[in-house]
Amino acid sequence: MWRLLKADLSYYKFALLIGFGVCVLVTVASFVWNWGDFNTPIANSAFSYLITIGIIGSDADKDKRDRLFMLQPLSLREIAHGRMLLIVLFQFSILLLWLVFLAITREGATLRTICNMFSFNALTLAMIMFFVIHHDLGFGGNKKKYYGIYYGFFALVIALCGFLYYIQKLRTVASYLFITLYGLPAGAILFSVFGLGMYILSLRIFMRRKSYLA
Amino acid sequence: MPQACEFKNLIKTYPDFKLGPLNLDLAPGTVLGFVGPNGSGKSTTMHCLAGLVRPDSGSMEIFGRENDLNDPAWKFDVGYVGDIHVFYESWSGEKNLQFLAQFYPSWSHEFAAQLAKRLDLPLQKKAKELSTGNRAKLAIIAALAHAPRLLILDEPTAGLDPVARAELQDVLFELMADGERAIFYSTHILPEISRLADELAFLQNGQIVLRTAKDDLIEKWRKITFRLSRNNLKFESVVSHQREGHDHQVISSDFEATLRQLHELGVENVQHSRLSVDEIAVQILKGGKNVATLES
Repeated sequence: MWRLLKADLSYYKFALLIGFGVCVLVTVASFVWNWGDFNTPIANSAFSYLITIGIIGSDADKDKRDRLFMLQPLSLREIAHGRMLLIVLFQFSILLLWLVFLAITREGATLRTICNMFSFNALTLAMIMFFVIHHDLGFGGNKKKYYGIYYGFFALVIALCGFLYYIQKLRTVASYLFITLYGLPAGAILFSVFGLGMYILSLRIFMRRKSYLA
Repeated sequence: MPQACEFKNLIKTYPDFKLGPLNLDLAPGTVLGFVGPNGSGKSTTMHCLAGLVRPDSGSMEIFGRENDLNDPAWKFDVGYVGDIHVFYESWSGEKNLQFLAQFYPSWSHEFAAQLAKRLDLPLQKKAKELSTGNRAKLAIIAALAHAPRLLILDEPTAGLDPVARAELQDVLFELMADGERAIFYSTHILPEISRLADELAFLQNGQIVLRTAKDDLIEKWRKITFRLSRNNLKFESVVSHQREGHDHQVISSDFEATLRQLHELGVENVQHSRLSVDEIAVQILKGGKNVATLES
């Protein structure tokens, strides 16, 4: 597992450095030119972060990295973690960057900002895992059925959220769930559990793939 | 001693294709040529054996170990060269080999370097800059450098020039010298099989239609020509029969049985000649299960 991470770190070092560098620049610029509250650098640097992860993911997919890993004497669990570790590590390095800047600026370091950061980070992880799961479901055998269940579930969640907003009396509940909770410790924990859940789901789905040819 | 590899009732189904049920074993010291037309299931079989595709049912063992994806110990015994060669594309061949070496305690950098020299592979070049043939060479070195006991080779010489092809065959011969290894070799280039293989398995539509020792095949199959005025005769073990006037040409899968019958009929001026593995393979794959029935 660590050998895969080490290889990926070495292979993608320039992409990672550039991606991280852009995140640092955007965060610094936000402070220097006072682009708003701390949510602005978070959102801006996340954009650079997601592009970097997207480039790395697409490159690994093009080179059929899963296939390369599967041919080595590694267990499925090691490979499942090994292929994701780089993403998780990069994501946490960005979170660390935000925390460092928050510690430097002090005045922005409210509980709400910190919770926002953790919630945002967890949701970003969940979003990346969403795409990873989509990719791996394509090798799960009965594609139509699995995609149907997967997208059906998320469509149901979105419909439920829409329903909450649609019903006037429930709108307060909805705004608590999606806006207030986001900046509360309970929300940060809840979204982190969701992000972690998506990560674990992605591991499970990888380990149940019918084919590792790509 | 356990078999180098053994399938029992292996089945893999796709919407438009079904492989198996396959039952096959391969003893150490043996080279098995796996022959079949495009789409017959050769690569699927090899993918299942290498752990790249999960079969629907059945079991596979490699040197007595089940090829369980959660317990990868069996992979130490396997070297695989597939239909697609996968690397870290922006790394040099050498860096790719270094990456792979860390997974195998038995990896020999010296042997890898020797092979690269013999196959004339520039290891300093990035994988993405290598030609198709050189990518195949790199994959071959990657598969051989940890001295696996079972080599799974799926069209390994595709893209190789004749010199590299011959060199690879020499390397494989040398590897087989200790009698402990086995090679499961699929190719369309049948002359390669004629030199290397001890046994041949013919696959058609996902089924093994014939498994036989190569020498038996070459010994038994003959092209026989003779003159005979009588018509409508059914010859034993004949898989193909052409006639022009009184001149007949048959291909027999058991030429002794056919000759016996011809002598009983009083046919004279009978001539027979051996067939190449290539020619035999074409007949078998054209005849499919009918030929297999004749053989058995």
